[in-house]
Amino acid sequence: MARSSTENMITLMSSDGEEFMVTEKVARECTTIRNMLEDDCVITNIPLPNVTSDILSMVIEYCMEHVAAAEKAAAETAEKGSSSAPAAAKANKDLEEWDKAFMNVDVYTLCDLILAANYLNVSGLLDLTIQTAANLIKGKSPEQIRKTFHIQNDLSLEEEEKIRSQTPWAFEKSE
Amino acid sequence: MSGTDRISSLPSELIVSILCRLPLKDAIRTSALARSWRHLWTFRAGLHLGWCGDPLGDTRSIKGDYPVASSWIDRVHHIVSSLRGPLLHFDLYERFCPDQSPLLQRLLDLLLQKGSVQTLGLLLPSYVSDRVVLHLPSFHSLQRLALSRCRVVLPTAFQGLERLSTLTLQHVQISNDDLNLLIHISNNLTAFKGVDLVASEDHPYSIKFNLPLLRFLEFGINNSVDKVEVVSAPCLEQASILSYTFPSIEKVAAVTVGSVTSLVMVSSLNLGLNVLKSLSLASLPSYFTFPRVRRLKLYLNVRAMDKRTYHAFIWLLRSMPSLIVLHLKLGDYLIDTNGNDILMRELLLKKQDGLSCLKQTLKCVRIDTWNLNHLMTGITSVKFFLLNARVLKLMEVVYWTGSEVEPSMVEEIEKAKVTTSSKAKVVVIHGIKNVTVDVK
Repeated sequence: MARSSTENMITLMSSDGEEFMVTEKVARECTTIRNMLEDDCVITNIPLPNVTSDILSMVIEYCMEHVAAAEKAAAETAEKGSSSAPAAAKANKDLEEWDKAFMNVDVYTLCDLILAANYLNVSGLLDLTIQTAANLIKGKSPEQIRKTFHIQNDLSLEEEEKIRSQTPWAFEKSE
Repeated sequence: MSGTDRISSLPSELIVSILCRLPLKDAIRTSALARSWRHLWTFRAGLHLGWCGDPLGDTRSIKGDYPVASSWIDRVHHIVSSLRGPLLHFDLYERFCPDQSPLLQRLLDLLLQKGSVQTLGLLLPSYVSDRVVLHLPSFHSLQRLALSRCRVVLPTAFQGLERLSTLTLQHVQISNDDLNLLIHISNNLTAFKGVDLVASEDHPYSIKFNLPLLRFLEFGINNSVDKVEVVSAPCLEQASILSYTFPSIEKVAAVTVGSVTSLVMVSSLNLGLNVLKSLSLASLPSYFTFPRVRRLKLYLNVRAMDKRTYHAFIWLLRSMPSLIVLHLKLGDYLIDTNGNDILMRELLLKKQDGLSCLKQTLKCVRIDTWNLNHLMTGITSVKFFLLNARVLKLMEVVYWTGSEVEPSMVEEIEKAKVTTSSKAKVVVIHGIKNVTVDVK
C-alpha cells in the first residue's frame, strides 16, 4: 500500500498505437485513468482507443505542467511553513499564462481536446477548452461563428429568417 | 482537416456546456447557425435574468425609468417556454410595478409547470407602497428560494415546499399566518433567513421555529415582530437574532431560545440588545446552557443598558461554558441620563466568580464602539474582561470616531491592564484609519 506513487510509470497507448510513458502522478490527473488504477492497481499499460497520439501528447503536456505547478507550490509551503500570498498569486498567474498559450490552437484541435478532456475526465482541461470555445462564439454574429468553426449552413433562407424573427432582439448588434 | 466542421460533431451535451458559458443572447444566436444547432441552447439549466444577470435587450418602457417593459416579460416568457431541458435555476432581478403582478404570476406558474426548478430567486427592487404580489405556488422541486421586496401570499390550498432546504426572505411583506405556515410546512429547512419582514398592521409576527434539520437561522427583529420562539431546533449551529433598526425601537419583542435539549449544537450566536433584554433570568431556568457556543456576537447600546440587561449579559456568559470569542458591538448614540451608567460601572467592576468561560475558555474579546468615553462602551467593559477573563489572549478595542488613536485612551487602557495585571495582548484599533496601536 505504501508504494511511492511518483516512481510508478504507466504506459498510455493512443488510438494510432503510439506509446507514452508517464508517471502515475501525471496519469492520475485523468480521472478516468485514476479510476482504472484504483480498480486494478497492477495495471501498467492503458490503451486509449479514443485519443490520437497528437492529442494525447497535448493532454499529457497539460497534466505534466499542472502537476509540476502543484508540486512546486506544495514544496514552497513545506519549506516556509506557509505559502506567501504574493508568490502564490504569481505562480497562479504564470500557470494562467501557460494555459492561455496552450490554448493557441486551431478550432479543429480545440474540439479534439474537448473530446479527449471529456473522455479522460481532466476537469481543468475540460473547463479551459470549453471556456476557450465559448470565447470564440461570444459577441459574434451567426455568419462570423460559422466562419470560425467552418459550420455549413443547411438552413434555407426562410428557415433562418423564421428563427431570427422569433427572438429578433438576440440578433441585434450589441453596442 | 482544419477546414472541416468539428464542433457540430461534438456530443450535444458538450456543445450545451459551451453554450452554458455564454450570455443568453449569444447562446440564442447559435440557433441560426445550422439545423443541428437549432435547439441546443434550449438545454440550458439555468437562467439569470435582469439587471445583474443576462440582459435581454432593452428592459425599460421609458429609458432609465421603471417598471420593466411588458415586452421584456414576454421575452422571459418566451425563453422559459422554449426551454427543452430541465430548468434547474432561475433568478430574476428586475423592477416591477404592482399592476404587473399578474404577469409575474403567469411566469411563476410557467416555472411551476416546468416541474424541475430547484433554485428560484426573485429580487424585485421596489418601494414599500408598490410591491408586486406573488401567490407562491407549491413548487415540489424547489430546494432554494430567495424572495426580496415583494408581497407574498400563500394560496388557500398551499401544500408546502417539501424539498425546500434554504429560504431567504428580505424586505418581504407576508402575513403572520402565512409566514408561520411556510416555516412550519417546510420540514426540510436547513437555513432560514428572514430580515426586514413586514406583517400586516393588526397582526404582528409571533413566530415559532420547530425545525428538526435547521442549521442556520437569521431573524431580524423589528416593529412587526411581537414574539419569536425557537421551540426546537436540535441541529441549529448558527443563530442570529438581531435588530437592524436603531435603539429607538421601544417595543421589545419576546424571544425564547429553545429548551436545553434543543439547542445543544449551536456554536455561533449573534444576539441583539432587545433580544438580550427579553432573555431575562426570570424567563429562563438557571441550568439553561449553550454548551457548544464558541463565538458570541452581542449588539448593545448605552441607553437601553440597564440592570436587567446586565443580568442577562452575565447570564449569557454563564450559560456558555465553551465561549472562546466574544464580539461586543456597542452603539452609544445617546448619553444615559438616568443614572444607569453609575450603577453599571459598579456592577461591571466587580470580580465575577463561577463563570467557567471567563476562567477557562474565553481567549479573544473584541469591543467595537463608536466612542470610548461612555460607560459600558468605555473603559468599564475593557476593565471587566481584563479583570475577569483569566486566559484572555487578545483584547481588541476598535473605535470609529476622531481622527486618530487618542494617546489618552491608550494610557487609560494601559492603566487598566496594570491594575488588573492581565497578561492579554491588548490593541487599540482605529476603525476608519485602520491603525493599530499596541498597549504595553
